[in-house]
Amino acid sequence: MFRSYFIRKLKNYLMLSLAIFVSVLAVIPLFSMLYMVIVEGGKVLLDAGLSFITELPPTPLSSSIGGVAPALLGSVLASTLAIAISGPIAFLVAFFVTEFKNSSFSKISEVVVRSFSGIPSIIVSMFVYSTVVMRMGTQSLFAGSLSLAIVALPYAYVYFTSAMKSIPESLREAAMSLGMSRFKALRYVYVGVSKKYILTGILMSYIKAFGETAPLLFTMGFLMNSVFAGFLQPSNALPILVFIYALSPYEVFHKVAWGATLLLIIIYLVLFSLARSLLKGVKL
Amino acid sequence: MIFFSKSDKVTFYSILPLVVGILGFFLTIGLFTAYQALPSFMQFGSDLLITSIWRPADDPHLEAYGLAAPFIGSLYASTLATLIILPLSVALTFSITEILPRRIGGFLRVIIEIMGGLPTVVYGLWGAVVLAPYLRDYVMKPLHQYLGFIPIFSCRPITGYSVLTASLVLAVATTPYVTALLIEGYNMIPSKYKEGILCLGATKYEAFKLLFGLLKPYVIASSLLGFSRALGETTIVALTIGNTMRFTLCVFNPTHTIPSLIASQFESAGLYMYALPTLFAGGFLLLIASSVISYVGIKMLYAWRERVRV
Repeated sequence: MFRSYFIRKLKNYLMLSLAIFVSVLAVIPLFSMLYMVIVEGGKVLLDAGLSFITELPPTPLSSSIGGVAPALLGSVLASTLAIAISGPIAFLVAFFVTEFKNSSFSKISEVVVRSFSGIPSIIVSMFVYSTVVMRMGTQSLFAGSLSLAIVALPYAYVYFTSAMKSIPESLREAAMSLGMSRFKALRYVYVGVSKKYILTGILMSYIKAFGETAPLLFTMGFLMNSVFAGFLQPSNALPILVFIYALSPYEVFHKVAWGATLLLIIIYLVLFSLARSLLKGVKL
Repeated sequence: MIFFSKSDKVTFYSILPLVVGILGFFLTIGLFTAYQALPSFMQFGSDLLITSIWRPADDPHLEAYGLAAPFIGSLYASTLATLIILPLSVALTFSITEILPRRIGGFLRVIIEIMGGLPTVVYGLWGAVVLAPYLRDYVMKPLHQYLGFIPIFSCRPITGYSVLTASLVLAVATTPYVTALLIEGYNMIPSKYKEGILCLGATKYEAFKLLFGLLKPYVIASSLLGFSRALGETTIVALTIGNTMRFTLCVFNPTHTIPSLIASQFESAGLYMYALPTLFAGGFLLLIASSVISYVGIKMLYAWRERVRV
């Protein structure tokens, strides 16, 4: 190794610049996406105004853009319901796995639940379709929420385990030394200490559920002629609306898809910054 | 098993059924998919894996299905995507952890986080509307013209919806996930190694190269997890791959992946006797592939973490 200092230095600079160049390349798509959606979707939103979130979708040949009210309401309701179902389950499982970590059930659950976040969400959609939708005879908000709940469960679990792990060992020991049972420690110590992490976890899983397309594809239905038909009736969601309208041949549907995408991104960014600002105050 | 106080026992046994229930439920999804797929496996046997055909018919005897094209298409697109993800996420890890000032690095990290959570349908739309025409005109056509003698560039690009477009969008969408894993792993390397190598007068690049060498099993594990993500991705692929039932190794051709086939055929599949079971068969193969890969990846991550902690 007698390479001169100069060559090493040069190689260092080349590699650093290359790394930065590639990094910039990797994030350009985000800005390209934002630009595209703001330009195309902005036109639609400005054109339609507030009625975009209160009106029904247009028919293929209508001249007005209409709105995405059924999809917006469906998305909000389905994600809320999904997190209401999977949140508590994920929380209890996460508590179990972190508190009783020497039990073999915990070790198995940890790996299985985490692996489950890698399985294709379209299969969950097929599963819910064949078990729930076929039996009920119709696609429904309920089936969609169930499908979302299954997909969101591993995510919520991952966030909740890191919330539980964020609790300092000293507090854990202090709680135990006061003679608290684990359940009492959870109720009086852990929840208070990791409150913000738990809230962030809930919010992030909600965001995840809000943006999912595949789990809703066969389960949610595609409601267009009223805003809300009931929990056991078909509904609609923003991501599937974008997906289906983008693949359709009609100009007016494409416009609605752009508007809906912008709406989706705005909601996403608002929730995301909310989640981040929650975490910012965390000091332990 | 170590045991606790009486009330801890109560807690343990009252949550246990829930945990077992969740595990059982996940298993049920797998078994259910296999059960639904059974008629198709029985009817077509190995043809299902070696032919590429989608022929629904009212008369069940005339129906013929083969999933070779979408299955290979899935593996092909995900492999390409993983090959693109690796340099991107390694460069991002290097930039964020070592090169950029803390503030700018933090900003880049937030951008990556935003990209990681962005709804996939936005990526799909962007791929279909912006990237596909751009790639066709500025990348695919020149490549085909000048390097057309290489088999994977040999077909003429027509619409821009192709394996290449799909893998590129998949890569962009999955890079944040892999990057997050790599940064987490990199930060776990004990700082004494870094101090040591810097004391010897290594440049930043040399130090990173050496430290990253320690991370090798972790990088493989993260790529496996990224691969499994890409394998199951539906929305992006259905919007960008062109949805054509055709076996191809040329990256400019449209094809299908298993999820895109399911997304485009599921609604009408109920009308035919073997169409739905065939889709379930595809789903089952995908499920097996992705859960085995995820499992191996996660096990490797844990093994590495255990080792580095000691």
